[in-house]
Amino acid sequence: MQIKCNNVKYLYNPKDITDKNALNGVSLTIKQEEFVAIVGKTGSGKSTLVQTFNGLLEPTDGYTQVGDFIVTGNIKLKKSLLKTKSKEFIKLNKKQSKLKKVVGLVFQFPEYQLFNETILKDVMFGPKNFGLTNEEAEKISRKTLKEVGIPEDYFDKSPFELSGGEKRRVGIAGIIASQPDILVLDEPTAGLDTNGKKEILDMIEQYHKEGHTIIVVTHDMDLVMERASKVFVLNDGVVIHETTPDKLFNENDLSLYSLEQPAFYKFKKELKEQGFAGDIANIKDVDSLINLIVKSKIHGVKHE
Amino acid sequence: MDSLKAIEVKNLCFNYEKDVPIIKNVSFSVNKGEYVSLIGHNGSGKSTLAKLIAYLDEATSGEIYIDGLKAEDKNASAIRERIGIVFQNPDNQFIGSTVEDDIAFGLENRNIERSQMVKLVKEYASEVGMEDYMNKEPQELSGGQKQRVAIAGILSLGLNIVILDEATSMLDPEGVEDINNLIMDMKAENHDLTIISITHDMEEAYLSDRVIVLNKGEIVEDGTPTDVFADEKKLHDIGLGIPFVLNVKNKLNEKGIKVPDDIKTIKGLSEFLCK
Amino acid sequence: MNSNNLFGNLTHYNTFVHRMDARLKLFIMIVLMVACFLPYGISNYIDNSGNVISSSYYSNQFMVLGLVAVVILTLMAFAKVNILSFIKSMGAMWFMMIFLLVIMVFIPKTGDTRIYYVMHDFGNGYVIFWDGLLQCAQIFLRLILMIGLTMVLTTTTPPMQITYAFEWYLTPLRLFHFPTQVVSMILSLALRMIPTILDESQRIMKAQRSRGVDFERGFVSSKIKSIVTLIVPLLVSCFARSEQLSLAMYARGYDPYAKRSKYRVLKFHFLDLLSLIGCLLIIALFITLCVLSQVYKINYIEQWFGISGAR
Repeated sequence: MQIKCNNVKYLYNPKDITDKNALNGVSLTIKQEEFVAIVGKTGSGKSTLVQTFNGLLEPTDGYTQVGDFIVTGNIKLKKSLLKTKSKEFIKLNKKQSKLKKVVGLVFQFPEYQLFNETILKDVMFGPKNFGLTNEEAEKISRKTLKEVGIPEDYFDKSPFELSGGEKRRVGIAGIIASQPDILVLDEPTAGLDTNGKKEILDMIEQYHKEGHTIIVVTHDMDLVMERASKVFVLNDGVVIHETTPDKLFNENDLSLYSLEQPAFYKFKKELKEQGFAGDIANIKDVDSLINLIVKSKIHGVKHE
Repeated sequence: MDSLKAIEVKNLCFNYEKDVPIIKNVSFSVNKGEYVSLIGHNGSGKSTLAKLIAYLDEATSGEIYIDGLKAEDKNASAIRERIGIVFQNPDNQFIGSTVEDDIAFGLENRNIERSQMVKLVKEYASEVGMEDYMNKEPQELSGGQKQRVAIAGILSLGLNIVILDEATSMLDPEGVEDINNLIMDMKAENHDLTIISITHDMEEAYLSDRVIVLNKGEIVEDGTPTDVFADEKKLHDIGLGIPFVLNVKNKLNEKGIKVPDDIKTIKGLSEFLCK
Repeated sequence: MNSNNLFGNLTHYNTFVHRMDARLKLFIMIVLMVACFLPYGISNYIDNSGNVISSSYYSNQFMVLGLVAVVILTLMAFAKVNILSFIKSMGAMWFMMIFLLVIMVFIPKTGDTRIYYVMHDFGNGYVIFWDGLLQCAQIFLRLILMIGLTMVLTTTTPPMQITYAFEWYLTPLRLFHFPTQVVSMILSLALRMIPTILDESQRIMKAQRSRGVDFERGFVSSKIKSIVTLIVPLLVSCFARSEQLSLAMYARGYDPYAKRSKYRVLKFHFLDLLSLIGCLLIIALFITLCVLSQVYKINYIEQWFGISGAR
């Protein structure tokens, strides 16, 4: 199942064209099982865009197509798009309640959405809403909680007894338990320490390996560098760049995109500027870079 | 008490609800004008330690001296006049209904006369670059702007010891840079300013005067960044990373290239390697 | 969302009402509301000898109330209150008024019904009177005037100013050791937090929607379940917030019972003095009308226009 945005526009207040969080015509395609990052400065429209993926927000113009679902607030457009489609297609798009199961959206600080008496019940909540029976929901919830590293003796505890990091994992588990085809996460590593970040990212990568599409909205360039295979750069509500992380960070001036280079790429850039006489461009990790530097020192290569 | 020491902590212990030890026999001191980074994994007790030093909570045992004053009930208000703390959540420390009201809050608490307050509020709003936002309400401001207001509030009280409790961890990169630059400016302007920064940012810790590492309520390292970050494995075991530049330096060192200790930035390192 | 939009209708004109001190506005509002509810005449009654003394109670009331209405409407005009929002804010009332109307007209009256004016006699002992209708109309008029007065306050005064005004009025209570400064701190903190908490509730609702919660559809029972998914996290976060807030306040030296200076002061201007005098004169007039009518048992409409009470 792929996601296709076709000139998606969104205005919070249709009367205000200078609305900062507007989407001004986003077009992109995210293919099945890709691990994609969406980046851009605050206010570029990243969070607004992903909310059109699960139908929370409907574009004021243009449309987002997720598999057979068409999300748009433009009724005329929707009618014309559905005209030539089959009955099942039209029926699917009438209620679109299944879309939220197919696209699991995890908001920033998911620990704040916990409400149930026990952790297990909280994780079971989503799957049950999407039609699973109690037994089925419990089974998948137990499995998911184990996968995210929550010990079994915690299952009957109140979610409010956990630490921040543990609560976050339970929050994410609550969405993964519904087994969405596409998992979208908004700033999953915000506010975490090094270990915490790694745990969450490993969790996400595991879900990716199981055959699902991952979309991450983030400011964390290290995350993008280490895990994503494709990155979309948003600015002022439009996609201004679509590339791979390596190509993006190798570019000379990231301030155009209001982005911060990861330390590794900053280092490569500085070396180049200082006249380093080695082929840095294709080096993609620290150890290879170290080897290259050592080699050039040993061979006494002169740098300009 | 040594008058050079801004903070002195001796054998500090803190138990949560009678018998859960959070801080275990911590001792250290901070000189006037030092920039100390306090690092440790989540749950190591960093925030608790910060609150104890700011005398927002009573230790179970041990002593704390702020500017020579012992942290006990009779000195409570005197201590408030010397040490301030900026918390992590920009919204939950914004008291006033507007920027100027919030900066004035601390001054009101000190019962400062109104005309003086108006002057101070204007002065410190400008210091942090918020003079054009005086009557803005918090929901109209970004996280970075709210933290700037929090810092203005502390500066306006003339405090010389500032604790930053992960003050940038809830901000976007722009906000982080904003606040870090502001703190650097503050430090440059006031050499007596003592800063204790609780942080996850190893790069920031690397550039400070001193690093204290907390693990499960105990201090496991206390020294210059170079010394503290030397044992990469030890830090890794307790859940911490090391700064990028140091990581590169260590690896170069393993292969026989020695880089001087005082080189701490990417630029400096590149310059050195390309000589 | 600005806290100025708490009541949803703050306007930004620069009328003298906008510029008026908030304390005075509060005073005028309450005083004029009192004027709406004062009796200005006497209704029909049965005297000692059993005669029905008839008067022009309703027409008299409506006349004087009409004067009050003129004052209030003038004030609304000065404050540039939007007529459309005025009518909109009465929206929910219409239904209630019709309900009340039906009750007051059609429920049989008790007591000596000779003092009432007959509207229609159905013949079988069931009679309906004009009084029900007229009483209802009077209630309605008073309600409209109250709404208009409140709108004058909310469209011309930012909520923060209203809390400062409240605080000022509460100061005398300090003599009775009532912690007015604590109450006003609580009020202003609450006001400051409303937009923040509203934003948070939106975020929580979106997160729960993404887990399949439907806040709009469903029967009462499922709606209650949906609301729980919003209320619980919101409450928990509110408690966490208040803990952090109080720590921050404590750290900045806040002592609720210590003497604190005030950054914000309400200034009383010369224009306000004029408005105050004007208001006092007006209320003096209405109070006089009320008292005289009760003491001398007269209805002004008869005195001034010779309209008799007999029907």
